[in-house]
Amino acid sequence: MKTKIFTSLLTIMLLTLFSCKDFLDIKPKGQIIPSSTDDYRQILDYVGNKNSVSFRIDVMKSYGITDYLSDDYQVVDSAGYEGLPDDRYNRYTWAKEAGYLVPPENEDLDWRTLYGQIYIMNSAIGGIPDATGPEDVRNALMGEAKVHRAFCYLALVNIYAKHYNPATAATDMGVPLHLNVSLTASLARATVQEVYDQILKDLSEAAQHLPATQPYNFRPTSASAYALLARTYLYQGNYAKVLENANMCLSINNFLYDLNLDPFEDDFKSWDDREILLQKERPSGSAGNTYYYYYYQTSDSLNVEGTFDVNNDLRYSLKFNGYTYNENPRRWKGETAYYECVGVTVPEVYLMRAEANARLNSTAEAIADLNKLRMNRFAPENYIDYTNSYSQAEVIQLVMDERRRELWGRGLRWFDLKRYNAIENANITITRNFSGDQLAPGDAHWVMPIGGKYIGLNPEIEQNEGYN
Amino acid sequence: MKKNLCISVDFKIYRWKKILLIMRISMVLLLLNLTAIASTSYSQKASFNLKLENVTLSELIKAVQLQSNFTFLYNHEEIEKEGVISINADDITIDEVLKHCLAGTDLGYHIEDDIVVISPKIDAPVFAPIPIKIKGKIKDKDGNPLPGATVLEKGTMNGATTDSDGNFKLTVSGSASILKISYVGFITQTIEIGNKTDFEIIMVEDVAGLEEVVVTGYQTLTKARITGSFTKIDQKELDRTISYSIADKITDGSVSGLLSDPLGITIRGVSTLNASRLPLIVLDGFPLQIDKDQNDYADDEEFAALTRALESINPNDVESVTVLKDAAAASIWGARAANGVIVITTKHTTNQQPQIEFSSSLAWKPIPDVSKLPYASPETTLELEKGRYNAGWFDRFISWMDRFYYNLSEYPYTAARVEQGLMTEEELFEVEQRIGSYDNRYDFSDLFLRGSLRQQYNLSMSQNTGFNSYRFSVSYDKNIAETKQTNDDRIVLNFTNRFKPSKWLIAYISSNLSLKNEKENGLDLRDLFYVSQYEPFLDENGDYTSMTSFAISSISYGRPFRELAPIKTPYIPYDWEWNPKREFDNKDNTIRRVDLRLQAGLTFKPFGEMLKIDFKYQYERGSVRTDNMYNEETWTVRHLVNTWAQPDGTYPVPKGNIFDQRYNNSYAHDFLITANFIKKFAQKHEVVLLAGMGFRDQKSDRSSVRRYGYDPQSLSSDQQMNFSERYTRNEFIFRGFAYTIHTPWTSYNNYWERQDRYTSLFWNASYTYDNRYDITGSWRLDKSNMFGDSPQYRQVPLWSVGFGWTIDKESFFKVDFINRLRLRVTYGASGNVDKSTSPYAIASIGGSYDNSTLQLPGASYSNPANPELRWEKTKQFNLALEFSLFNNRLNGEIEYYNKASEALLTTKKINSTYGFQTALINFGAIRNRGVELTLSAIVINSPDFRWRTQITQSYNQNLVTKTDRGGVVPSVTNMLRLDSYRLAEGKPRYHYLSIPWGGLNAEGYPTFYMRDSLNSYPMPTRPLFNDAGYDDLKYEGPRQAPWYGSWNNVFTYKNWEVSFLVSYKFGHKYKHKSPNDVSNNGLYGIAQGNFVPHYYGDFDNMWRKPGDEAFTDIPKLPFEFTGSSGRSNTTWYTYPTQYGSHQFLSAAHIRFQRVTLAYSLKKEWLPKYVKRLTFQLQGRNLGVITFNKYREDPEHLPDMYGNFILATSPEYTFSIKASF
Repeated sequence: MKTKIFTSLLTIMLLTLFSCKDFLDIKPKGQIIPSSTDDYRQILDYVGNKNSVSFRIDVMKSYGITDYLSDDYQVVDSAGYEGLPDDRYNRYTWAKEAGYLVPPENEDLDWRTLYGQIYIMNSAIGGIPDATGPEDVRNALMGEAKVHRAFCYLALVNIYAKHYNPATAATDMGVPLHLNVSLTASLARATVQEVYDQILKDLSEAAQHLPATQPYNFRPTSASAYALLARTYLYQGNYAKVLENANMCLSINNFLYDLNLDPFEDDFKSWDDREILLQKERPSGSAGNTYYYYYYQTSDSLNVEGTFDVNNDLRYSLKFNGYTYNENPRRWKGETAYYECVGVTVPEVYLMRAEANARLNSTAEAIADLNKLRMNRFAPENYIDYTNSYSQAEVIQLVMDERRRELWGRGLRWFDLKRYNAIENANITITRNFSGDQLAPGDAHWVMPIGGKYIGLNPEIEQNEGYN
Repeated sequence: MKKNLCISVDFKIYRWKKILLIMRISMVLLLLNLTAIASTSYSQKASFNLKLENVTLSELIKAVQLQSNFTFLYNHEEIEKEGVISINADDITIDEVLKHCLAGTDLGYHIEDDIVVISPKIDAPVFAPIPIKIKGKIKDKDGNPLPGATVLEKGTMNGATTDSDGNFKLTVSGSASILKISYVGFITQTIEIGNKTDFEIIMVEDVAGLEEVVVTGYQTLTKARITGSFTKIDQKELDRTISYSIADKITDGSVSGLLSDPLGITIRGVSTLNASRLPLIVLDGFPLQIDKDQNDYADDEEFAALTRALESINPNDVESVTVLKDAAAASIWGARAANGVIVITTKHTTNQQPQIEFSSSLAWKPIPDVSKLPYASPETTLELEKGRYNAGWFDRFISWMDRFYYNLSEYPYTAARVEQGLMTEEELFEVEQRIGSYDNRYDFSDLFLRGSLRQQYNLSMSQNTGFNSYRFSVSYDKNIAETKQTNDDRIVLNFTNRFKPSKWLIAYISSNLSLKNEKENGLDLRDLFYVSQYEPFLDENGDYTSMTSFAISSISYGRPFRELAPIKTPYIPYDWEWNPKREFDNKDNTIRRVDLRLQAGLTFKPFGEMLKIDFKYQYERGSVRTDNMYNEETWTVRHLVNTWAQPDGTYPVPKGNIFDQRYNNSYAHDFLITANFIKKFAQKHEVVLLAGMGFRDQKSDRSSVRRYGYDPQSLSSDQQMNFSERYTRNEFIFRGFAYTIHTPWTSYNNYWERQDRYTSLFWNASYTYDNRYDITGSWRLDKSNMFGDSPQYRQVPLWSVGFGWTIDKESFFKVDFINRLRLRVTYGASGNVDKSTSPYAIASIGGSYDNSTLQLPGASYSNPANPELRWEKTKQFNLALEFSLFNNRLNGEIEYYNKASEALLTTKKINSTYGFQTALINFGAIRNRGVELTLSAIVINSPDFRWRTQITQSYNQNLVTKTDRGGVVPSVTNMLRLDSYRLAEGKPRYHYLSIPWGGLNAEGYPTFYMRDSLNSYPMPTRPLFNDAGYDDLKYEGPRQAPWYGSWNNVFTYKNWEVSFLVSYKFGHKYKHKSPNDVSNNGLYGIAQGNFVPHYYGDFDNMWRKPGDEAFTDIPKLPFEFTGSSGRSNTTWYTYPTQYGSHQFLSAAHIRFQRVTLAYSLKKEWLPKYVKRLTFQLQGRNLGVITFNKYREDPEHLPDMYGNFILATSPEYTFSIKASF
């Protein structure tokens, strides 16, 4: 009897041993280890809580420095200029005085945000091929991740490296090209050419697999992939390719709001904005010991009023009305200034097509696109079509002016200035109204320094010229 | 000579007691080769019916065993030598049986308790000059007779045992003879015969003696056989501290190697950087669930959670606490044992008669002494407020005053209004008069504070009938806190029942239920912190005044806001005034806690005592419900409704009560199977094996709900709130941006859950040779659902080996005064878990686009993938020497340990280019070395007066041996401020750094040394900031005491007992608070116009005129700095003042933990049914001797929050305890 009981107890013990594996096989709640397309869908949908003020890296946060650097933004008065916190002061002065954007112990929030997003994308691109789920879903997700990654690299290479120059791109230092999730790989800077090649590769692979539409505009579509391709080629000065990809994009989505119809209700939501092909916004919040807010940038009235037709341009009243230029321009009426889009929009694609046509001397097509856009930006009673009477140079200038107005406060002006100087020899100098600080063409400070912290941790990262 | 010793033991509740007895007796028999002459044993009146013919002696013994509880010890060979016997008798006693059977043999017998020893007769010594007949009575100190005690004539084999009344008779060889009296669990005594023939001998319990046992949570081991490092606090010692929580009894400093300080409980030094530092708590064999918030390893939070968990135990139910310190002791707990283990066992009973105990205690603490708050005097306060105003430091906020919120205290507000012509000079004069003469803390004390009172009642009943044993207890606590309107009560019910249906089966169940209700409606000293010191709470008519409120978050609400908002936004429904008394009058907060533990177990013993298989199951459940009801008078409601009220008269946040409810629930299932194997071979070999496995499933969840417009009667609330609409908030609070009311809503409505599972597989073996050598080993494997799939990371086995050598048992060892000498050596590894990371990239769900509108699930990576992730591992070497001298009057233990913790998870900075700024990586290492000494002595041992004393002394050297410093150097300011940045190889984990102080200069500015040059404020911040590193700062010393210990004394005089405990800590530093680091009193804040509710007392000694620098280290306030850049350049004023080397002082102190006076009523004065009645008077926390110039308690530093006052208040307790 005793032996029997004892034997059965032993059996029970052994059985429990075998069932041990299942017992531990529960997934922690509130956390996921991504393994299926559903998981990666969530990873690629992470856009944080918009009401949170703490710093975060998500698929929408991108960069914000360029508006400080460009000529669109100035400081209201000289006292304000002097009293700026170091981080903002260094940006307005193109890091000329300090020799750095952030002190070596601090994080550079643009760099950190963009590379943080690249980590998310690298993990997705590395993990999705092994994830469970239908193949077309995997391919589409892979495409999304590649578009996001390309967006980040395009921003990085244009902030921290010289502008693309076909002659020197193969030797100019780009940015570290980190394409996997390793925490130990070398971070030596790739060349500008290599970075552009990677961007083009990612985008063209993605474009094939992405759907034409998505329910939310922070999810990349094939249209946004083509738009980014057009932007990349534009920066390279390859206008034929710009034309080709802009056409591809606009054939999928050419939606423009007619501002006369007052489409933006007070509670208009940015994810409902149909003009946005890929929504990206500025980073903000604090990380480590860096407190970093990209709002409260300022434009001065002289600058703004010299650029816009203050009385007739509906964009002016939308962007600035009710503000004393003491805030970022708005995109929507009810929207606060905080979430200005720095992503890709349909108007930008029209303008890229116009510029490509203009540069390729198809001025009529360029004018047509300009008119198409402007028609939606002016009240009909004040609107006059551009005629086909302009020279090529004039058309190019019209496109450039329209581009500045339409994309004011959208993070692109700095790249345009670099591009005009580098590719088109535009010889543009930026002057600060109150300090007289100047940034002349050819100045080393057209390229931003890489954070001392990053070089300290990985000395293989070389610093840019003019900084140490 | 081959000797086989057969043991057959029946089960009794305390099996170990019997084994000990057997061991002791066999030891006596086999080592001293002695047998006592048979004498009648008190308990053995039992009778037998025996009818046996021609059986061997061993067959007879088996027959007797069948009818009784007797255990027989004998040598097989010797028994088998004897022939066959026959017996045929009814109703005969064991004595008669043995006498009959052993007659004519060479064997004698001896009965002690229910153990029968049969051994060869040895003739009494022939040498006996003048024999004396003596008699005597042996009792314990309470006068209870001790039956079965052994009385031996020293140096002979002559002896006797006492009968059931404790009496003995003996004929000794002469007056020069010495009696040696021994009894299990008592210290052996020797007495000279002299001329006396009648003896009354009082035996003293042996606390540190051989028979002591320790509990590992899985096993009960005899102290004599262990190799690991254990410290046990027995029930007597636990009883000396009367307290609400068992925690107070563990952390009073009396355990060597256990340090309790403001950083928590540390056993043998901190051995982790990032993971939990707290020891594992094991209650009756299962880890106590510490339900802390999420992954929060915030030290305070975790310590608080531990303290709460311990409060679910009725301290009167605890039998013993054992602290497991080294690898051999703790590694059986594997992956969670690196910080040591505290094992708590609850009471069982051996009493055959029902035993009832009742105790009641009343503890009183005086009203908190608000005069200890380090306020600047009213005169200084006025001087500072005026100075700041005149320096223009409030200008910025004054200029905003009419536009939107900002907090201005009364002085700058009034002064500015006078300047604007809106108020009169008289009004300002009145305010100045008040500021210069009044501070409101005494009013606060009168209104909101009182002396605290805690009552405790405890009743328990227990009995052990052999077949069944039970214990039932109920305790009730009522606490009237030192803050008025804050009360709690607690009921703890405990029931245990053990049932033995058969010889080989024991079943038990046990349940513990703790119910606690708390009302938290008071204002404590922390609330006083937010109140400006010169504003009265009530006006002359006793009505609420409108006071300045200071909120910890950046938004605060000053007078301009309160007075202008109702005028400029007249549509707000409520007034916007703030008054603490009004809050106090309207508070309605309750917390209800329920903690339940159920245990059930089965023990099988299929082959007698040799093998024991235990199945144990525990279900643990805890729930906390917090109700906060805010009525329309409370600031919460008025503020929220007003904030969102719209000009059109609508209220997006509805008027009416707000009701917040929070629920925390947790449960844990534990299942444990162990098999225990004990066997002795060939007399000299003993093997004890334990193998087992455990499963644990624990889950906790939290949810909180907020209801607006709540009606407690109809239970209705407003369901129509529009969470997607954006509303403009009141312009006085926020600058007009539109938000949904979802924003305030979300932080009060959330849900969180977590589930963890663990399995473990372990074994533990010990082998003893000849009672001299012990070899032990243990091995354990832990797994959990969190640690990924890979066996490499899941299955790190943790192990230990140990060796013990009882030197006094060696034949060559012959030192008279040494009763015991034992050497122990162990080595092994235990682990620590930080579940916040994983080898995989872990993503956490949450964060939709705008969680009010677009409910799209998203997931973000919280930690990068770390394929190299490992468990933290602590390897420990322990060497110990135990000794017992002078008839066991002096016992001691000295231990050395070396504890190397490696692969410590540390937040290592990595290059953000990889995507993460930091990652948890197994990188750090810490080494702890130390020596621990425990000495206990019975200094005086006369029948009436006894003095026992115990000294513990611990030394711990804690050094970080590997950290990630070097990659990026944190800024000097961070290193000065934060522990987490002060990590350096070769330095303790917790230490202080300072800026070498240069005193004040002739202008009253702070000066300091940096790189050997004297600097002073004001100076440019940037160059020094960027260059200075760790080595430019001065190392001040450890934050945790390397030397600590205690002195514990017990004096007994007749029925009186006085005990006192003193603990001390030496060799560490603390940081004195400077006027600048009390809240927002920093110069930057002061110069920016921050609202300062109180200025710190040291401002009284501020530099005011040249020459003052000779007397004071408190710099002047540089009122001459007016521009914003000058003002903001305050780093080199604030940091040297706060963190100068003059601020770091010796934290050495001696603390009077408690004094207890106990009196037990004489037995003859008590009614028959009362066994014992004891009165106790206790004082705890009686004071501290410090060695710093400020005479401040380094563990409870004076700050504006006043916590230190509560922590250092003495507590006086009176208790009555009765046993029936």
